[in-house]
Amino acid sequence: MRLIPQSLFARLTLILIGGLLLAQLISFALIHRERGESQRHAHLQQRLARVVAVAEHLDRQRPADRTHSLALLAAAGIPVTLQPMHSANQALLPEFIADELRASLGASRQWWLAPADRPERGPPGPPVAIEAQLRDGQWARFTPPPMHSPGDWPERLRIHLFTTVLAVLLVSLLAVRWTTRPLKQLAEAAASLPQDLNRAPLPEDGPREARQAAQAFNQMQQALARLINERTKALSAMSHDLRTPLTRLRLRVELLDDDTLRQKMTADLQEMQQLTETTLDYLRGLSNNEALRPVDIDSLVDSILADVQDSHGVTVGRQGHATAPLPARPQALRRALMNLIDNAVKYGTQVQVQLDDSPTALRLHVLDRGTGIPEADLERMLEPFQRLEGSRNRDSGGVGLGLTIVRDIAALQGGRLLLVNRPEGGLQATLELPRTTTTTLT
Amino acid sequence: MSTTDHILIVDDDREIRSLLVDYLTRNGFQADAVPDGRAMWQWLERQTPQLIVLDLMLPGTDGLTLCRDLRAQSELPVLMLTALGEEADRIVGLEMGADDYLVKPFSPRELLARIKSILRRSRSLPRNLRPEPARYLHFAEIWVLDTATRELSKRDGVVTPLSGGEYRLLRVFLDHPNRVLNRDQIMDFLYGREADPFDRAIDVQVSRLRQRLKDDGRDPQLLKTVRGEGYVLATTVETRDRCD
Repeated sequence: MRLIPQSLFARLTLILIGGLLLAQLISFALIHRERGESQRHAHLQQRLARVVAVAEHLDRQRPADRTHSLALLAAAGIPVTLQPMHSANQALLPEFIADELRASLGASRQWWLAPADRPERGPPGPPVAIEAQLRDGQWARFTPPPMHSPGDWPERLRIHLFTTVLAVLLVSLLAVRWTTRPLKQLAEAAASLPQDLNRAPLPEDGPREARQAAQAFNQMQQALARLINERTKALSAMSHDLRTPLTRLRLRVELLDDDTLRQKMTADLQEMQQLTETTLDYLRGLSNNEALRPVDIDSLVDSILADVQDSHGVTVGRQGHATAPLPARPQALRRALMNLIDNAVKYGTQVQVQLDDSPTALRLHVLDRGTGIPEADLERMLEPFQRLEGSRNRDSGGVGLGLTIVRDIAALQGGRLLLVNRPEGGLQATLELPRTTTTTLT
Repeated sequence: MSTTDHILIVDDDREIRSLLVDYLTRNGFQADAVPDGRAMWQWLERQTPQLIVLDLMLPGTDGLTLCRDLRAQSELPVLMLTALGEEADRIVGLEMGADDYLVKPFSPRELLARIKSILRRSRSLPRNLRPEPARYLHFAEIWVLDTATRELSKRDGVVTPLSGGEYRLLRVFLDHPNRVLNRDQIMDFLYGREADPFDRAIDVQVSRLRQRLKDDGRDPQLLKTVRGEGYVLATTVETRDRCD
C-alpha cells in the first residue's frame, strides 16, 4: 500500500502522467510508421529513377569503359554488377507490386526482378534486386541500397516524453491547486472552529460538490454558535441578575452596627460575588473577543506577583525570563496566570513561578509545596465544576472553574495546561504557550 | 474633607437609592437620589451637587447619554455605576466623559474612596487647568496608558501589564507630571489618608513601577527621586482620544 502516494497532487499527477504517456507512445508509434511509409516511397522512386539513369548511361559506353564506371558507382554507394543472364529466380512479390515496379521503370528495355540478400538496414518487405538488360544483351544487376533510418528514434522519443512529463506536472500542479482549494479551505475552517466559533463563513463557491460541503459546514457552524450562545446567555443572565440583590445586600451590611456580624456577612457576600464573577469570566472566555497583542511576559508575571503580595501579603519569586514579547490576549492571559498563582497560594506553600522560554514555546511553571492532587484526579480537575474533596475543598471557596478557565485560555492560544505532582511534594502547573502559533496578530 | 459635599444619586432601583443615601449620609455627605434622567434635570435646576453617581442602565434616557449631556453643559464630576462590567461598557463610559466607574456589586467602602478621590482631584486643580478626561495618556515618547482598559503599552504595541497598585500610582504621577510629590501627598492621592511614617509601601510601589517603565532604579531618568522631598515624573503628558 505504501507504493500509492498519499497526497491528492501525487495521485492525480500519477494518473495524468500514466494516461498521457500511454497515449503518447501509441501516437508516436503511429506517426513513426506513417513517416517511414512515405519515406520508403520517396526512397523507392529515387532508386528506380537512378536504375533507369544508370542503365542508359551503361548503354552508351563501350564494354571496356564500363569497369571504370562500375567502380565509380560502387564508390558512390550504388553497387552494380554485370552478368551475362538475368538471375534464375524471380523475386517473390505480389503480382500487382511487380507490375507497378515494371511500369515505373518503363517499357524501354527488359527488366527482371530477382531476390536479393537483405542489405544492412534495408527497407522492409522482401528484398528485390532490379536487373536491367543492356543494349548489348548483358544484364546489369542493382542490389538494393542500404536504407537511411528515419531518425534516431529512441533519442527523439526521450526528448518528447521528457517535455510531455514536464507539461503534465505543471498542468496537474495547477489543476490540483484549483480543484483541491475548497477542500483545503474546509479543512482549515474545521481546524480553526474550536478557537473561533464566530469565524467568517466559508465562501460558497467553486464546483458544486465543494459548494455543498461549504454550505453544510456553514450551517453546522451557525447551529453550534447558536446553541452555545443560548446556553451562555442563560447562565450569564442569571449571574447578572444576582448583581442587584448583591449590591443591596452589601449596602445593607454596611449599615449594621455589629462589627463581627458585618465582617462575616461581608465575607459571605464577597464569596457569592466571586462565584458569579468566576462564572461570568468562564462564559466570557468561551466567547473571547480580545485581540492578540504582543505582551511583555516578565512584566505580566511581576505585576501579578505584586498584586498577590499587595492583597495576600505573600511573596512569590520569579525565576527565568521571557526572551521576547509573546502575542497573547493580555487580560485573558493575566486571568489564567492569576488563577494558577491564586490556587498555589491558597493550597500550597513556598510558591514559585518559573519562566522557561524557547523558540518554539513559552512555559510558565507555577510550583508549590502543598499536598498536590491525587494522580487519579489530575485529569478531572481541568473539567468545569470539578472540585477535590478533602484537601482542596469547598471551604476555600471557588466553584471549580479556575483551572477550566486556564485550560480554555491556553487552548484559545493554541497552548495547554499541564498538571503534575512534584516528586518532592506539591503541584506543578505548567501553562505552555506555543511561540510558533498559527493564530495571527489582529 | 468638607462635610457639606453634596452627592446626587441617579439609579432606578428604589432600594439601592435609599440605601446609598443612608450610607453616604452616615459617612458625612449630604445625599439625594432620583430615579431617572428627567428627575435628574429637574433636580439640577434647583440645586448643584459636587458630584453625581450615575447608573448606566436607566429607564428612558440611558446613563451614557445623560453623562454626555452633562459634560456638554457643566464640569460636574460623574461616577458611573454599571452592572455589566464588560470592558466595552467601561470604555464607552469613560469616552462619554465619566471621571470614574464602579462595577455592581461594588464594595460600599470602595465607592466612598472613589467619591473622595474624585472630589479631591476636582478641588486640587483649578477648573480651567483640569485635564479633559481622555482615554489615552501619552508620555515619555514611547509610553501610552489606556485609562479604559488600564493597559500600559509601548508605541511599538507591546503591552506592559501593571498591577493594581502600579496603575493607581502611575495615574497619580500622570495627573501631576513634572511636579515633586512627597510620600504623604502620594498616599493621600492613592488612599485618602495620611501616610504612616513607617510605611515604606510607596517606595516599594515606586521601585516596581520603575521596573515596568524600564527605568533604571540606580539612575532613574523618568521617575526620579528628589532627595528629602519625594518623587517626580519627569515628562510631559499628552491626552489624546486615539492611541497613536
